[in-house]
Amino acid sequence: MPKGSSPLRLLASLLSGYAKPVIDLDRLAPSSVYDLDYRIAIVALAFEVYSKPFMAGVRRIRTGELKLVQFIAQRPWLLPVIHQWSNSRRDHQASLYVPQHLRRGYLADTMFDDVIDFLIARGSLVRGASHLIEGTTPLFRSILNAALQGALFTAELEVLNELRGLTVTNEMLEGS
Amino acid sequence: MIEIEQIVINGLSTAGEFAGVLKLGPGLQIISGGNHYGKSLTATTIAWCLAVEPMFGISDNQPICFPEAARERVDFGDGTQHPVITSRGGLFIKHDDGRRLQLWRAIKGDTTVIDILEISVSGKVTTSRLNTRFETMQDPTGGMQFFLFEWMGWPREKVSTFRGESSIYLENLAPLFYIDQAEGWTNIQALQISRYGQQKIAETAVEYLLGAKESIEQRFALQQSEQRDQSLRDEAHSISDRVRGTLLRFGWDITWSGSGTVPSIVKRWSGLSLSEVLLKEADADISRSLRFNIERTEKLRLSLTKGDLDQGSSAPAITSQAAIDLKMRRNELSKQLHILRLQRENAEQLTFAIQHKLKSAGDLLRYKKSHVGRLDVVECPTCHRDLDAETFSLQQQTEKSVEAHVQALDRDRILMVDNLNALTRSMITTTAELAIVDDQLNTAESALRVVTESTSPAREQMAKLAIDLSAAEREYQRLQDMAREIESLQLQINTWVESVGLSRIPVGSETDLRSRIERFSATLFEYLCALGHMALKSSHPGQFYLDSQYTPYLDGRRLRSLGSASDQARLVAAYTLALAVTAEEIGGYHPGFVVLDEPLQQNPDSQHRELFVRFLLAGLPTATGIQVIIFTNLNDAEVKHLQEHGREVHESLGDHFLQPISHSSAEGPL
Repeated sequence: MPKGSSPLRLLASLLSGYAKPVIDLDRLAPSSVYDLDYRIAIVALAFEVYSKPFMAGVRRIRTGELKLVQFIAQRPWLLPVIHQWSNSRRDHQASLYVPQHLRRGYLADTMFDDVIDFLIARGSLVRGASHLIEGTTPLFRSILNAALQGALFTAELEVLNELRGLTVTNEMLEGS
Repeated sequence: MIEIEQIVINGLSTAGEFAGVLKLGPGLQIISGGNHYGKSLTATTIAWCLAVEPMFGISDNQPICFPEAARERVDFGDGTQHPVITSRGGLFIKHDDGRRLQLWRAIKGDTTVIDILEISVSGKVTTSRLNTRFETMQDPTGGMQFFLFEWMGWPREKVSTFRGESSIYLENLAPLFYIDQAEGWTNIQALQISRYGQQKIAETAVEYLLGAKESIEQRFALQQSEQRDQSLRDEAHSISDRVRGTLLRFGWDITWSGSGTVPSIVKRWSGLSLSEVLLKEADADISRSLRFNIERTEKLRLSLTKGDLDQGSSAPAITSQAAIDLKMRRNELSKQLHILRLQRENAEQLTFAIQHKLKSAGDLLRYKKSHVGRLDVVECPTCHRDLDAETFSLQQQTEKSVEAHVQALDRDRILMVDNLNALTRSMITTTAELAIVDDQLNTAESALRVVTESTSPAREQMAKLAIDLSAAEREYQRLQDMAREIESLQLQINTWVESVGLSRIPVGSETDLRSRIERFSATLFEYLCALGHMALKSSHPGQFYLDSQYTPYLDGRRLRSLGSASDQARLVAAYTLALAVTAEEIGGYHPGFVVLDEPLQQNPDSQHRELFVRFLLAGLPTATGIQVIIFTNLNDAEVKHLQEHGREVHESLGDHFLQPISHSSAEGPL
């Protein structure tokens, strides 16, 4: 199946000749997690909260760290899990008991990779060796301002702020 | 209706006695004087002697509405100020049937009481001292407003508050006949009191002055009925929560809802009793259980005291089996409770996730609608070719699609909340059952111990009988407690249903309110035109009407927002005068006088002054019995012009209204 084509359209094409499917995609309710606008907004908020100054007027963030925090921001119920994971970093025995589904979940978030590719193509980000650097056509600050003014994505911002105290080690980002 | 005959302020200062007297006649009375003369002092005395000072936003009995001259330092115009020792205000009023009243209230002194001289038509004088504010409308012997309403022949009408009832006070009516210089001109009823919590008091005050007594009473009855309805629904909710909580504690999850309208709850609760619902939904018949328990206890007692003992007793086996069965049951219930706890934890987590997703989707929808920061056109920064999101396997959802997602999530949320509630109920019933089984297991284990320690089969059988009898008696006690609680709940339900039956829903009848308001509206329009309201100047000004709050509208727009800034004062003056004149024509409860303190304050230009003088000459109806008292500052030409046309203008004779008593003539300085 070509990447990006709707599974429902594919199903419709498979059924054609045997059945007469009438599929109105607008009436279906896909999750917001798969919406480009939502994902860009969350990436923008995460970048604004976590990025650090790199050069004069330019900020950057570790790619893996951005992937992890934006993943948690969309799923606040995973907060206790990531805290447990972060706290177990010095205790190898304890790390055995840490649930691995979070790690698996965020590593498998391929949509994040697609969104980053898109933002790089648009010029909002530049890919470094292990970092993402603010691009020539900045976008994130205006999204953050719009969110703050309109009280939008407050729950996600709350999670991102709560995650500030979290220590994200390179070991945790391994494989991302 | 009444008329003000005289306003007096007198007192004692360190320089001696002082006084100021203003005598008034019927009809239009214009009091003209310069700044700091004492016009507002005189006007305030009217409000003070009627004890309506709360409308100025001050506490009861506080004379701070007066200028310093009357309460701290008096200046007689000689450049020195003399401390005031005592002072008081007096208001002389005359009823149209010939009775007179003098109201004297201290300004500096004991302000909580008012001295009243009641003079009958025959000249008989009765004096009394009444409380100005304390229980003013409620106390039939000491309340000043109670007395005044009686003297005026006005009915005391009740109005609803948010949690009960109150009365219409004089300070609720005063903003419609007393226009204060400082705030009164800012809006119609600008000084109306809202802190008393009376519902719809502004409309009620207008209706009262227009004499629409029936309409006020109907509204009050309806509001009281609505309040009662709400209180009944709250009570029904509380009873339903108690019923469900108690029955869940006994292990029964039944439907006993307190939601809906009062009639629907009555229908539901009168249809089936609690015992019937228990039998129908939980197959629980307490009276049958009680009967069965009594029979069993009796049989056990007979067996223990008179029955033959079976030598080949199987008591140890039966007791042991009972203990095993109960242990298994307890184990089963514990497992069930554990599963329920896990399910609830998961359900809580899922509900939290759904709520978060719902919030995110709602935010996304607003974000999409606001378009801020969204990428409408995306192009490659190098080749400037349009970039398609689908090239990157990405999709931008439509607003419609996000809306559908929000709706789906909301359905899920409702489902999960119901699920959580059901799980909580199941946990309560299972915990209750577990407690009963625990108790039974303790008894069974104790019985097993006693039976196995018995030395002969006969003793084994007797021990078992004794323990069974004790358990049956305890069960009987438990059932009786349960029956008593259910009976008490049923009693609460019955009392509630009966209390609903006692409350009657008032039936509204036709009143004359509409015709009264129509008359008022027509007069108001006439006065607005006469006063020269700019919005009504054109030959076809549009449709003029009063809305349900009696606010004037012109072609769907509030008149207050139309015209120039100075039209605000015209609107207030016209409204006040039209109300007084209409009330007189149709027999309302209006005092019969109107006080306008400085109506020219918004019109300093000559064109508006001329318009105002013309209104005083031709606009005001001379034929009515309404006394219009205007405190203003007219120039000599205006005074002369008015006097030439027969209008009574009281001009200031000195610099100050208050003068030392030796310099003051018997008639006062005016």
